[in-house]
Amino acid sequence: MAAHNLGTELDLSWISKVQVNHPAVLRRAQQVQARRTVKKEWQAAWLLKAVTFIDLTTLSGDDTSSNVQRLCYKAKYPIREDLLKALNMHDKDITTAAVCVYPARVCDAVRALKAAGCNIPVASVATGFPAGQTHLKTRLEEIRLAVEDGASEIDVVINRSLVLTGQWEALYDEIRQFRKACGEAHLKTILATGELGSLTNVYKASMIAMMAGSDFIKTSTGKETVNATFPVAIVMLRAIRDFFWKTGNKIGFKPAGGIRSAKDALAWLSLIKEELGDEWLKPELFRIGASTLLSDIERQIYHHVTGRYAAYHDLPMS
Amino acid sequence: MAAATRTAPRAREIFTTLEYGPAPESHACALAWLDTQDRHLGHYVNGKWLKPEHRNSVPCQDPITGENLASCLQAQAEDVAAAVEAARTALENWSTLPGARRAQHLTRLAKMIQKHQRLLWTLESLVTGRAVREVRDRDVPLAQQLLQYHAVQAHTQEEALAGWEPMGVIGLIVPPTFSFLEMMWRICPALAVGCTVVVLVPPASPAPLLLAQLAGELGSFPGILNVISGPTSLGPVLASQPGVQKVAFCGAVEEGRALRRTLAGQGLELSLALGAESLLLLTEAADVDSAVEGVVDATWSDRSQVFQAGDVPSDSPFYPPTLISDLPPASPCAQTEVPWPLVVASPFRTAKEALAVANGTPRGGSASVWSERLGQALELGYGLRMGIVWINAHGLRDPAVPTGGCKESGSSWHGGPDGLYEYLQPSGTPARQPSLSENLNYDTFGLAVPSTLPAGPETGPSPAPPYGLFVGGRFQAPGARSSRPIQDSHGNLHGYVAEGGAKDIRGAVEAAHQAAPGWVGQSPGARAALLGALAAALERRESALAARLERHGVELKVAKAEVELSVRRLRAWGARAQAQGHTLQVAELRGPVLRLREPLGVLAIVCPDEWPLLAFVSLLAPALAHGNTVVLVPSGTCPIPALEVCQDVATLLPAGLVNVVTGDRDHLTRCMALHQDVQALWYFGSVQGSQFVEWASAGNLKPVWVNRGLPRAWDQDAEGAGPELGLRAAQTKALWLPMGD
Repeated sequence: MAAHNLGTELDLSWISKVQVNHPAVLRRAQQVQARRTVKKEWQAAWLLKAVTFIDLTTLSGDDTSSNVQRLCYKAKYPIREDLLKALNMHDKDITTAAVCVYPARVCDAVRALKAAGCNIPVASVATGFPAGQTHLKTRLEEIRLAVEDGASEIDVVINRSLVLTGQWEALYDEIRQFRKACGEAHLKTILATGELGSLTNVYKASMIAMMAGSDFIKTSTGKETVNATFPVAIVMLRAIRDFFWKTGNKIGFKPAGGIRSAKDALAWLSLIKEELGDEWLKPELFRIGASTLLSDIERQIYHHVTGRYAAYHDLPMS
Repeated sequence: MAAATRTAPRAREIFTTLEYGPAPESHACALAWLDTQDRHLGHYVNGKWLKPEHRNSVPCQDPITGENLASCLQAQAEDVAAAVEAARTALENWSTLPGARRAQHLTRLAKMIQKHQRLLWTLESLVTGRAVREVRDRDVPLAQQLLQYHAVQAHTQEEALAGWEPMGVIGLIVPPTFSFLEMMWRICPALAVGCTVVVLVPPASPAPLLLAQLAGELGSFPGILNVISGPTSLGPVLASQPGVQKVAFCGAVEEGRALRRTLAGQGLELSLALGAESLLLLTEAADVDSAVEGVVDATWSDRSQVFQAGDVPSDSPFYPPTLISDLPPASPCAQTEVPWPLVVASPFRTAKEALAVANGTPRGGSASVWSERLGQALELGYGLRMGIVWINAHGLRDPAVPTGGCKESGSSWHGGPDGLYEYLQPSGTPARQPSLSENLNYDTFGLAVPSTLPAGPETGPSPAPPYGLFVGGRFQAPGARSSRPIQDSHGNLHGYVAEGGAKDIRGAVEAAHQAAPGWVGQSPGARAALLGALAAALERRESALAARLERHGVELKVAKAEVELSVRRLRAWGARAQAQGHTLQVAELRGPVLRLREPLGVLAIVCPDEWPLLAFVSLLAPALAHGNTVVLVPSGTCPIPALEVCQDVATLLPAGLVNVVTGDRDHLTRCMALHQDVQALWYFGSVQGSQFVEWASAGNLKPVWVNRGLPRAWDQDAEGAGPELGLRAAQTKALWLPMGD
């Protein structure tokens, strides 16, 4: 992964005058989803690319080492070998971008991936995921422990109450401390946009998170009632663009939650392409947090290659 | 199951570049339809294809590949006549049907479109080169919504539009660069209210023909929708067909102007929707990113069809989108109409300046305002002289919201209630009379003022009538310093009135403009109060006014009744203007759309000779009540009662609000009709005068209302105080206010 975002000094003038018009963003979101479509080999290639953006995730209360191991092998072999061969893509080393687990499962994941003989990074959620309603001290400790266990990416959740009460400096300071606790690991900051109240808040929180040194900003935990939506994404992408124009730093973007179909994945790729351009279409700058998306993509690839719709048992589970 | 049946050699490469690929939509459906016509399209008239022999034809080409798709017949005058004849025949039945039956038919057409939508969108996309998704996702659903909305209107017509009747056969002229939706916007209300339509589409426009076929194949009522294809030059031919009551034209400004001149005196209504420019006001308090998307939407809006096949400056068959910044308003480039996607960016410093720049053009179509500050957004939204204003959005349209313009964008409307009135006339309106004076000389009409000389002994009425032109709140001597005698019914001299001329009209219009901001700013209640005060003053003056009328041969009892009725008119309009405009609710839009009724501006009125007091007041009252300022020419034979009223106006109303200029009616009419800064003109006089007014209005495309020499029953409420006056005394503006946080 690329070098860290070192962040900048807190500059509240970057957010004080921001205006986000909700209905206009909704219209743009509607348009951008319908505007472009890719078909045939373009679709197949785009879907394979989408696989390389996936943070293959399991965040369940009943996660154990066995299903984490299964997940890790699926991350290493996301698409059936013969299908890749048919597309002449078998030598491209297509894997998912990372696997994403709870802190307590990081060790299992690291072990499984090592056994599979690959260096796919392990991402861990942290800081009182998903609500973030624990003491700062324990949240920081959680990050350190996950890093110690071998996680190289940390998905932290922000303290929503700081956003809703407009305590931007406190939010900046907290994320700064997360950054420090991460050490060499990458910091992915979950804004939990479904709980921020307005799109203007989404923009402001995005900007603060980037100033504080986040390598990625991420839409949601997947546990809120509203997850990754296009309008929210548009606002976050515009913030990323503004931050790039101001500092020259490219910050990554990760939608998560509710992205289940191959068609959704294509729409997300198209959105990134339209709003940020091709430079952002690489795993260093774009991730999709998903658990069931991969199997739908594999089914579509299967259909593209064979011309038939796959049965449930035709494709190996994760 | 072994994989490897189909391979994709390019996937590897695309995986790296992540480029967009072609997303081909099969046009097989459209081609198959063209095959049913043997690749030879004619016209669709009276529920049948019409393919007369010995006509020129033009090729219909795929603009992307240049491939010949079909040949299209060019109509000649007799084809136009056949189409109009079909529409006339259909009208007899269609216009007398109960609204519910028409509603049913429109609903059936909507379903027909739904069943054949793939054919419609592939055909439109194939022939125009527009993206499939644009036609499929927006135009086709909107076409169905239009039919459904207007079906509902037809259903409630008897109740909601009592007192109005369908105009008759409508001629619709659509220019080459407009999508079939433009046709739908206009035919839906026309059909809903009971009119039948002949559409003249440019050659090589198959989609309108397909729509006509779909309508025709419903079986019942063939002939309500007829589509002929031919050059725009056939427009006057279509207009001159007996039975055509109205022509609706959309297209370029200069074409519209030329058509206005050509059709002067032909006795039909003409509505124009001209130009395609749209304006965006981007303030510092805007969501700039969203506004930029708005610019893109505006550039690719349906009115300005950006994809233009033809002479093109690059390899692509389409004009490249172009941005010009820092173009001062005075640059010739800023004033030219261009067909391609062009964005002109100009800076402004304050909201006031933005309004001055935006309103300082002859165009008055649509605009959007981008500001998150509510006060600023509303200030700009209300201040723009445009037909449609969107706040923080651009290009939204809905069947329930009127869409139209003002100034040189043409003051015609489609959608909403205003769209319906375009095809309605007050019940009992006489049919079109051919009244064209071929030999009317526009250059000399009303140019010279006959000299007037002393006309015998002044028999001395008591008190002496007021003398002078009433301009800017006081009586003034005319610029020409001469007078004209007014005789009473016995041929005796009643008195002299001032002989007004061009300079007096100029002064009066200026005075009216100065008074306008103050009057517009008054609340309707305050306006009503002043009209009430004027009514009371008239009541006090009743005996004097009646005596004046009596000298002109009106029986005393009748004269008193005329004064009384005039008083009532003033009060009635004051009260009516209180309830103006309303809020529209639009599906899928959160937030209201305001339908505002705004003043026209400076309204010039030439009063009829008859009913010298009542007609004067009946025209003055709605004009003032709706916030206009006026320049009036009173009755020619009996102007003195109007001047008498001015004595009260002088003490009661703000100066310049009402200006009354006496003199030679033809001459004054000429001066006002040719005045570019008169926003509207009502003319009640001769046939020739009406024709001249229509011709001259082409200058600034001011809306005009002429009587074509026909008398009007001013003492009857329907004609003297009917809703038609209120409709004509104000203009609509649709203000979109989407909400959300």
